[in-house]
Amino acid sequence: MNERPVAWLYDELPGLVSMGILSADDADRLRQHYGPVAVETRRNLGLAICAILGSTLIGLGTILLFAHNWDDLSRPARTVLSFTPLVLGQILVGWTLTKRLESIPWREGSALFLMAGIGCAIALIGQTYHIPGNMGAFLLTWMLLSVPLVYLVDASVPGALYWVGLTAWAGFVQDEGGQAVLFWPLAAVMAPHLWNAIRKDPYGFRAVALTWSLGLCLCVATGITLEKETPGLWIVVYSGLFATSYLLGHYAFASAPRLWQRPLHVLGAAGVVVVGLILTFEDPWEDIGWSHARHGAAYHQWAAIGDCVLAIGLLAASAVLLTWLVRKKRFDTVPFGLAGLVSLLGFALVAVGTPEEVGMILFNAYLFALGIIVLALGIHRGELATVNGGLLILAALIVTRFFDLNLSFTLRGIAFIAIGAGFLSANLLVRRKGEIQ
Amino acid sequence: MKNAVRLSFFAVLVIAQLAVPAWMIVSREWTLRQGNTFKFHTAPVDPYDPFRGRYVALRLEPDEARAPVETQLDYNQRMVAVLETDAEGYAKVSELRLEPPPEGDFIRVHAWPRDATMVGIHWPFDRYYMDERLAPEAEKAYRDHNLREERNAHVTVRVRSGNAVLEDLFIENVPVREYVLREMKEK
Repeated sequence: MNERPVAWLYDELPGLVSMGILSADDADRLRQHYGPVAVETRRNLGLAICAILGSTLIGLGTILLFAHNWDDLSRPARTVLSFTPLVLGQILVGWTLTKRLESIPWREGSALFLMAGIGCAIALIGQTYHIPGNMGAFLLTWMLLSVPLVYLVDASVPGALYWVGLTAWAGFVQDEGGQAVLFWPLAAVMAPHLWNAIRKDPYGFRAVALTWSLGLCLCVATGITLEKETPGLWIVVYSGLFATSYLLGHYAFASAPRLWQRPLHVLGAAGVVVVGLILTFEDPWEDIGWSHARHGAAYHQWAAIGDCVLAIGLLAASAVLLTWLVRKKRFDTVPFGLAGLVSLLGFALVAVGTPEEVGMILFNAYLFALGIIVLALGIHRGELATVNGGLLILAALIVTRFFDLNLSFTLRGIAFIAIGAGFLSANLLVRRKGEIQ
Repeated sequence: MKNAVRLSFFAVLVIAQLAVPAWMIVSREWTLRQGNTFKFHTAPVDPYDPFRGRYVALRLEPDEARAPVETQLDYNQRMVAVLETDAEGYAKVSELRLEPPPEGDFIRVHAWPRDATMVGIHWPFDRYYMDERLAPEAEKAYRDHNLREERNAHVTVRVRSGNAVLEDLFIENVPVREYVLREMKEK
């Protein structure tokens, strides 16, 4: 059940009773019917943020104190010291579970403190026994010992940090010559918690914060976990990822009231434009495809299959979502939603031996069309933000071409003035349209 | 989830959270108390770890060994380095192999093929943690000493059943902490 409307209704009830629209008994019956709600109020949210900030600062401070390395202390003293924050955190979480389970600030704060305590304990033991670098193993142990807290204490900030930790782990593992394909099943461990938060209140702070964390981590981790055995496959994977993210945002979170409450939509659109701009240069299209496959001891053949699965999976997901949205007459989602399929076309053409310029020209045309369509949509709907978005895409495309092409200063100057005039006149047009309406 | 069930799961988690660091301590204490001692030549430098603080990074020698015959090695291949002591009392690798030997001291290492005959070794100890004030001084002292005389820095490592724990870092046969404090006093 989405609890936000119920919380709104509960806020309204006293007023309705005092105005005589409902009797006190009716109000009680409504409360009994819908049951208690756990939607964050402003005060609760403030308290939770304070608890999270406080626990983070104390946790980081403890890690820094330990990092000083008090080598005057004996090994037994350091052993006791390494367990102290861990045990303190466990006591706090135990107390929260028995006495304050309903309190979001206590749940989030204590779980976060325990998470920091686990990191401190492993770090200090590593320091005492001069355990080798291996930051990957350190982070993985830390994250795996922390993630059950998300479910036991129902705390979301440790969950969001778990994804950040996993992303860092993936980076270190790949850097040390390993393969971090395990990132995907490990990241999925948090999926039920995210699903539960979305089900309760899709636009609440908890669901939105978790989705932002996951979305940002996926932007980084996808590139890290790719084995890159087939050069250029990242083009399809990243375009597919951002197109899927954008379409999923429209499919599942279309009625989000504010922009910050649409993480998938924002990340997807921004990602499509950024990747699109990169692909308007010639370099990413050089020597790509299966005929340039990389071999050697540093490449894991089995992991390369994962790259193909990811590319196919993301393309299929974006195609399914796009079909569903088109059937619902959401044609406005098509321009961004096509990014995955356009990249597949470009990749396939260049991989089979078509000149590299074809991919570059394809994406220049795609971004130009994208900018024009977004601009037209904005003018049609009278949405100033969309108009400026379309103009920004066009401006970014033209500016990047100026660094790329050998055009005269006069021509560049005229084009910049034209873009500026375009911005001003489009804004004026939309404002006038709004005033008339 | 009922609170009794939640608390039972939490109890299991508490045990796991205590057991992992406890095991890290016990296994290393066991090696430090029961293991045989080997000396490795080393060259210290001073970097930084955001979680564990400042340390002296170590480049241990020997950093390569003869490749095992007729064995195809991957990059970062897990291997076993069988240890012996040379005439000067320092550790040397008598053999690199894929499986532990039936007897003798050995350390589990990562290796990669350098050329047709030699294999590079990555030892499982690459850092010696120190007080944040002393670590840069240790590196400086080593560098100064290296300019004046022939290099003389080594670490002692305890080895038991394939597990290795770094025991101490020495400069001029003096434990590094004592050496650095002495140098600082002399200034």
